[in-house]
Amino acid sequence: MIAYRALVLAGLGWLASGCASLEGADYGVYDEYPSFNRFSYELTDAVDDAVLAPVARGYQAVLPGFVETGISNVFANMRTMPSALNGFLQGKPQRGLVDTGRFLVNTTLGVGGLFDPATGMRLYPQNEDFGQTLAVWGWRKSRYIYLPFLGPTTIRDFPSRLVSSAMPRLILGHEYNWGVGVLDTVSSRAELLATSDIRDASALDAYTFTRDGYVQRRKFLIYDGRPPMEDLFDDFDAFDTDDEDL
Amino acid sequence: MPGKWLIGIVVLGSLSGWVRASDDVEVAQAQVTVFHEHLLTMVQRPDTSARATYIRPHVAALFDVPRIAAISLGRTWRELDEAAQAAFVDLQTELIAATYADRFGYDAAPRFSIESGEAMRAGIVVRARLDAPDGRRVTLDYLSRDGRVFNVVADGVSDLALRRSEYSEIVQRVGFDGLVADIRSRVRSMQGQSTLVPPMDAGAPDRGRGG
Repeated sequence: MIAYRALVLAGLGWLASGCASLEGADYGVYDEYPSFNRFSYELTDAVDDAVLAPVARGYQAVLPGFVETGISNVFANMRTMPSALNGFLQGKPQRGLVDTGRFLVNTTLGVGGLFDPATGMRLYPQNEDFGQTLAVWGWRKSRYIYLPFLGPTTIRDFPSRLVSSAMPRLILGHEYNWGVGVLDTVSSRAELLATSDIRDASALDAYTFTRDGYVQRRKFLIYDGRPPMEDLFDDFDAFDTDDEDL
Repeated sequence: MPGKWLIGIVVLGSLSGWVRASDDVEVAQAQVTVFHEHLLTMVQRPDTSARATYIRPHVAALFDVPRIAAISLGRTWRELDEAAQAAFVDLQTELIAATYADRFGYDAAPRFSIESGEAMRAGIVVRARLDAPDGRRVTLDYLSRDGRVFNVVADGVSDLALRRSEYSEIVQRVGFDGLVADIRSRVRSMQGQSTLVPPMDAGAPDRGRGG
């Protein structure tokens, strides 16, 4: 619900170290570095309030809506094929085909992704990524980390964040430059303004709100919008049985 | 033969249970539909304070606020006396009403639709959809038990789970009185200088710790 640029790291080695946590029956919050995470959050939030959010608001105020939408569509279109690939990797060929169709339609009829005729054809974005693929493959429990200027993630989900961030560079190749990177960052931040405004208006503890909201949202995506509802009744039942953990 | 009678009783019992469950789902869906209609009426009110005033009794009617308050506070709830619990329930109702009033400050009316209802072993889930005027689409799952809603899950994010986590962190950091002060401050900021909630220096609800 709630993306910044990142340097490319040796992800495989880091991924392998995280693979030790293959146990775990749920997708709960495993915040094992709360001091670091909270510091990172507050640092990032301060810089965002001072720099990025005002730039994003100015961007929204200056650009006509259709231009802003077009720019957002172009970058979203670049990230459609990784979603398609992960749909196939998860054994969900229909979702992979929808995203593939979406990419083809929007790239051709949509003039390089500027327009989104695919949605009108009911080819909706499937929002798959490698973090969800790893979860489907069995990596359910993962430590939560809030990375400075990158935002919330888990060890499992971090590689997919890198891939997503790198997609414009990979697709544009030599034509990619820092201006494209800045535009991608500002466009992404502008898309999240409404969400961050809700957080600022509603949250009593913004760090906890962001952390728990992120983890729950990831579970929602892993289950393709249909998480097991029975889990959400656990709070009710646990309180009724005087569970000491409450 | 007694075995056949027993089987018949079990089957009839199951069928009647299924019929009861269907009735409960329909009732839950109707309750949510009515609440959505009240939200659409609320949107027409001129400001946040007026919206909160309008929606507050409908929040109290739909939501099991005492249960929400108890689950949100967890162990701390059991340490409060009845007066403090009642005061906290009132404050939660104010907060929920103020949040709806603040979030639904649209210039144009949103659209709600009920997509499905399902009886589960533990309760009923009514799945709805909100189409906001700005084009955003949100899935809303209303979880109810004993005829009242105790949780709303928006695009997979559980309001009750968020509430519990936040309250736990704040109580650990600044205590229950600090939590109450934070909630009052938040309600005031969402409503402006509303007279619905007394200012901070009027004091937090007395915890009434026994002994």
